[in-house]
Amino acid sequence: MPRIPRGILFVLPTVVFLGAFIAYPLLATAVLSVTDSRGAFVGGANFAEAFGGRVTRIALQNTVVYVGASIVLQMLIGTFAGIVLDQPFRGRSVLRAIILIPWIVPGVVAATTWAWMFHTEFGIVNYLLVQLGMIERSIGWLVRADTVLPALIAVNTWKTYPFVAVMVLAGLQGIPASLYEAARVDGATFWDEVRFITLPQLRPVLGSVLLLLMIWGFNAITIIYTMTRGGPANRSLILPIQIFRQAFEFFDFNLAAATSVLLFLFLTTLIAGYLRFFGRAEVTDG
Amino acid sequence: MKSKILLALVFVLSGAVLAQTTVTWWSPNFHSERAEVLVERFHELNPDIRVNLEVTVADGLQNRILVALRAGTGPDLIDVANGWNVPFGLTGGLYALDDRIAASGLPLDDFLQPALGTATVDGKLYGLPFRVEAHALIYNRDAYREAGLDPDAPPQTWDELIETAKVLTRTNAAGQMQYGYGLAGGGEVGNLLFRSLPFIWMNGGDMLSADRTRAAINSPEAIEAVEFYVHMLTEDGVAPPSTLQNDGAALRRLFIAGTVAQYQSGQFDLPAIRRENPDIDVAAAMLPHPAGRQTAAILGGWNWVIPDASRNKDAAWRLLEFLAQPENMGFYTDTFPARLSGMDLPRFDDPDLEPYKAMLPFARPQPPVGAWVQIVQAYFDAVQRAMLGELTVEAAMNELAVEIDRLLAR
Repeated sequence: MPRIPRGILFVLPTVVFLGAFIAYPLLATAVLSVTDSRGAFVGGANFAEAFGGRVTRIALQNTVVYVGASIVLQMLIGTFAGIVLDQPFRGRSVLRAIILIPWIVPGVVAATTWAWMFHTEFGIVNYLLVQLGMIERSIGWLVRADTVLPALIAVNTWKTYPFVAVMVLAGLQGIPASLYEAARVDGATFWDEVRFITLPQLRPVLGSVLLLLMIWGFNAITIIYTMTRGGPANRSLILPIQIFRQAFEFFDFNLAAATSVLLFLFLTTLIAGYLRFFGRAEVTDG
Repeated sequence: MKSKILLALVFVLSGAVLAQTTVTWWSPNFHSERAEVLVERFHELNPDIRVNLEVTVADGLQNRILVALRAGTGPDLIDVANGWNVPFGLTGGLYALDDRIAASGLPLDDFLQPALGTATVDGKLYGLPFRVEAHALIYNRDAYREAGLDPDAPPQTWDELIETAKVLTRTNAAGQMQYGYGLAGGGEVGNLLFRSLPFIWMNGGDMLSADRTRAAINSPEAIEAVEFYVHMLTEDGVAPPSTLQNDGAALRRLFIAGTVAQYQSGQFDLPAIRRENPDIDVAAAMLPHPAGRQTAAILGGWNWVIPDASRNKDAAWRLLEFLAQPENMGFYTDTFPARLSGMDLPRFDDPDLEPYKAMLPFARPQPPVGAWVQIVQAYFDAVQRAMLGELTVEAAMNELAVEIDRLLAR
């Protein structure tokens, strides 16, 4: 009996686990995407169908706008909040706890609540704006073509910026105080410190956060599915919801697999670009 | 040693003789209370069968059943909405009941015929309807009186409906904006279909051609009917601005809040409205139709199906046969029973239900095509585009027809 190197035994559980839960689903999706419901090979027909429908293109466009705008806002607001929370002031620990609430609330609960708050007839958003005299009559936030995506982006930002804030806060606490002391000796203002010490020091943290936000953003359906189901007239339809529809409403698993592969390729390209950008930067920084 | 084995064998065999067959029945939460009562009765009559009642919830139920049918590990009897029965029958996984029905002598002519249509694929019955219903017009009698309308003379034609809705669109006595007609324009895709496809049918149009091979949604009759529906929002202004986010549940809420004075829905909304707002004087009427034509509605309801993978089909059929008796079916249904003889039960002798009973003969099943779910989604999108003003109704229906033809050709 040939001796099995001991090393293989040690990596075996991990390999089996990764194989079963990552490699197999990935391969199965790829196979589904080029076959029909009976399992016969159909080449690129499902991809042609995915691209041929008007809806997939709208979904791709919405996805880019929704995820892109959400990430920019989440990063900006989250970083700002993280920096503020790092300053010494009364009630800081209480505020640090409070700010986490949106992140902790289950997605469906938050989204349902927001859907009611944005409701044209019953929503508190319209009620407040009308009472304050900022608008004359109720706006159909989630039913108008021009307001639905901004409203959803606002909710998505509200939901996830605390995560950015906490990561930034953790990153800030890892910056040696001596750097700031040295800067102050040289007469740096608060904004100089932010620009020349805080942000550069935070770069690795921000990079990881950005990657996570990207992956989550492109895969998340909770908020939009709960609030608008992609409507009105697909104005808030994003690719993950389109995939969900194809698979679980139309029962067309092959078409859904083809769309999934497209989303996967798109995301892979983005991440490759990201790695080139941040990977190289780290080398030059180091 | 040998005697021990023998003894064990005796135990095993006697166990097998005494063992009951277990049948698993999936019943949704809104049916399950009455299901428990029926199961108890069934147990008394059939001591050799044990029914394992599993309560399901409506949200996501269609997917759950689909997965169970595909995996072949599901229950033995399932309650399914009648719109899902044909798609399930087409994708496979359902057991054809024709031989069982023939052998048991269950009188199919006692069933509402369109209801049997919701379970029929290629001439075979893949389910047995037990619950049937159709929409009617629900209206607020107080709002009628306030606006100077006669609450005993609800609109009967489309022209009267628009006139009534216009009169009802006003600031009411409570100083609140009230709209004359609540349209379904968002949320659940099926809700919009149930409230607009009947208008197309009434006007002589249809979604698909008679042989179901092409779209018919861009015929002049169909376009005129969709215009009637959409223009209530975009031109007549009798539907609330929130229309594109309102589904059936939202409309009921708006009616209870007094924002909407008329809308269409099933009979189950009446007790729900009275429970939440006992002050509303609510009534129902038959759906208005174009002058000189007949009314129409989609036949809603629920069917029982037996999965092909069930290992206890004999026992499942005995349970189904028991449930299908007129008095049990009449007891079980939320709305009306699919068997005409079940209608005689005292619980259906209710003036509230008269317009709903009168609508039933005008109810039609949804067409049995495999791509129906996709077609309904595309229809929903097209109606929304017209409601948003992105396209005229005619242009939206023309684009929809191309999309439907593409879906049918796949």
